[in-house]
Amino acid sequence: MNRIVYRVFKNYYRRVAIDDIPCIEKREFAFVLFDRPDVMIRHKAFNSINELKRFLANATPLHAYYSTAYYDHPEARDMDEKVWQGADIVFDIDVDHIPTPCKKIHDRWKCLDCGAHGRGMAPEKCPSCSSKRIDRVSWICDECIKRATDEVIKLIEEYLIKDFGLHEKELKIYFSGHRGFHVHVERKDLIELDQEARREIVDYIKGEGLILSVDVLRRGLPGPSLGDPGWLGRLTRGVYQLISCSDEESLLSMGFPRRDIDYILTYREKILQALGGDHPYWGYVAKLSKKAWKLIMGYVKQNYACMIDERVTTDIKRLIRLPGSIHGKTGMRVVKVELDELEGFNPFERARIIKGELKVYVREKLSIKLGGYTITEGAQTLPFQIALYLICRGRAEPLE
Amino acid sequence: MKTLPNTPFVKEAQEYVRRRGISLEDLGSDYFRPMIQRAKERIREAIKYGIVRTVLEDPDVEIISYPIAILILSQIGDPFLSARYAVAEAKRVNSLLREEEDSVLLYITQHTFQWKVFKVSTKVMGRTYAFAIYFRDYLRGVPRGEIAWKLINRPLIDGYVLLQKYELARLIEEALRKRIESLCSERPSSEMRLPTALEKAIEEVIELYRPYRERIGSLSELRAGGSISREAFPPCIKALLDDLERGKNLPHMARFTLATFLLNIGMSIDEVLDLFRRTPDFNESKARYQIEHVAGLRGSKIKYLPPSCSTLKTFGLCTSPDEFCSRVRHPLAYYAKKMRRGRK
Ligand code: SF4
Ligand SMILES: [Zn+2]
Ligand SMILES: [Zn+2]
Repeated sequence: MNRIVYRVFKNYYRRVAIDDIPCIEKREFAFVLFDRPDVMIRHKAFNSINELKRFLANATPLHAYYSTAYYDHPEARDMDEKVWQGADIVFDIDVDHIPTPCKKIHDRWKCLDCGAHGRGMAPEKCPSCSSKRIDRVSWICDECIKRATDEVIKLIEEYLIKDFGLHEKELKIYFSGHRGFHVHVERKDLIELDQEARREIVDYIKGEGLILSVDVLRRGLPGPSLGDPGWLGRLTRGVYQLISCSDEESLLSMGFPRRDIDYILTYREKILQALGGDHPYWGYVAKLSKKAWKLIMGYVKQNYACMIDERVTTDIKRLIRLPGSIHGKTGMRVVKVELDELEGFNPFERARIIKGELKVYVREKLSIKLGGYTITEGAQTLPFQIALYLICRGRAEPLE
Repeated sequence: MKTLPNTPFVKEAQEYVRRRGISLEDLGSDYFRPMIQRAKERIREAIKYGIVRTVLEDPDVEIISYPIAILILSQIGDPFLSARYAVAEAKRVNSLLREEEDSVLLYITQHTFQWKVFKVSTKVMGRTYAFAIYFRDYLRGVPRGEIAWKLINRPLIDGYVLLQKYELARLIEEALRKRIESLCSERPSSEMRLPTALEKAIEEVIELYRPYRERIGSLSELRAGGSISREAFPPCIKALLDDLERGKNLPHMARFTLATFLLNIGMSIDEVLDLFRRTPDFNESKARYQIEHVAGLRGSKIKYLPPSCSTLKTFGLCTSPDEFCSRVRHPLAYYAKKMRRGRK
């Protein structure tokens, strides 16, 4: 790694104020250092923020993590000896898991086994040889960030506050330093929830396992209404929206059978009228075919569910980036963000660790906009932070 | 309080027993003979019928026989018997609670289980909900593997899940079942000297259970060396078998998955039935009917397939997929591929 990067990191860790970490003495810490970028040092423990700060200033890590879990013996090497007490609930929203149209322009992937490659969101496994060893080149552009912040706002306002009854002050939002955000829930009485319980929460937020069978509606039993709480209301609003906004073409492209399309287009007004109000009538919707109903449920999920990364929330022994630390692959820091700062969030401003400018040589054509700057090939002077980002990503060299 | 003998597990009843200061030696006296008798009876009803009756002739007998039954079971230390008793006792309470006043349910949830529950009267989708429970407490107690109980299919407002009375009774049943199971599994200290009357009761219970116990075959006999290879089972199925092995109470979807999987790889109805003898609420004729049904011998005459991986994920039954799983979308495909590979 570049000398400049190390110097900037070192300077940062010398003067940084790390936010207070609740129950710091019960958490495990882990680090990756500059001279051994392929080794993670685990099972570290600290008794106070000051002790941690001293360590950071001396070691200047490339990456720093801490456990969402609380342990009796965080320093123990063995999971059983650690003795798990509980874990914060954390949600992760990462552009990596959200399909955005701009990825086609700025992201690339390549299979390390067979050499197959492509543009856009990287597949989970290679389409030609099924290998999972895939090299991804992914960027955050302004559009990607916008998508991620929208998703965070949805998560917090629609789900965590409205449905789960959490308070804004119990939620801490962090920019992850790369392509997403972490939302930490700080409510003591939830830390003991087991993996299965957390999976239920994840399924709720991702819209998994939602059932409202068309059979029930066909039997004439009362259905949900637009103003109902949680998913019942979402479902009704989704159906309403789909039926009121779609035309023949969009229904066809979604795969609706001909018969259902004709039915929707002919009776649209009637269906919508019946669905509105406090005592909706679902009899008309229930006349749609099973296939159409399945498509509708898919549409509802796609439009209302929130794209969190389930692995982060269900893993009760997870290591997560330390707030205040620098992400070694981007040179940006993990920074706390308030809910009302999310709109128009600019990581190169808010997660900045260095001011000023730097002249760099960009090695390839990137077709990307970063923090308002269009990056071109060749030599150019950029804000230091953006230059640092390109250097950390291995796409630019400093010219000074 | 009228519900005390009905519900000997509530805090007050336990407190009552404690205040009476009954010691182990006391249990040897004549006074306690009817209580030991009733404790035996409780267990016998559990073994035979899968549900314990409520007898209110003598409240004292009813209350004190409950901890005695648990004492007997923890001495025997048979997880299958304990699990069966826990299910049966919890069922009894469920059926009682459905008839009780709302305030009684509220009292039990708040005091015995320390759940955050309060009374509401909210109408959603034409149903009137009488209770709201904090989602944390809901998630801790909810029966797993039943899609209607999934959080997403429940009205959730401001952190509270709405429940109808019979649903709250069901949650109490689940929580009580778990509590009894864990009480029965506490290993007694070896120095404990039991009065003869109790020793005798323990013996009688063991004797009573013996014919049932013997029919529970060992899972390792699962066509050992035959055409079926447990090694090739996917992790989801192995986990279910492990649960069965430990006498755990499997939710409906788990049973369906296991039965259809085993039938589809060639086990016979009787073989599958024998496996299910281990479930604590086993009822031979009911279980046979259900297995024959999914085997396609009854009703619709459709032979059912186990659910796909994605369905199993949704039901929380795919908890630890392995490397091999990434190549399949169905547990049967997993098995078929593994078997093919094994033969090579
Ligand atoms: S991926 Fe499929 S086969 Fe594997 S454990 Fe999960 S459900 Fe079973
Ligand atoms: Zn490949
Ligand atoms: Zn983008």
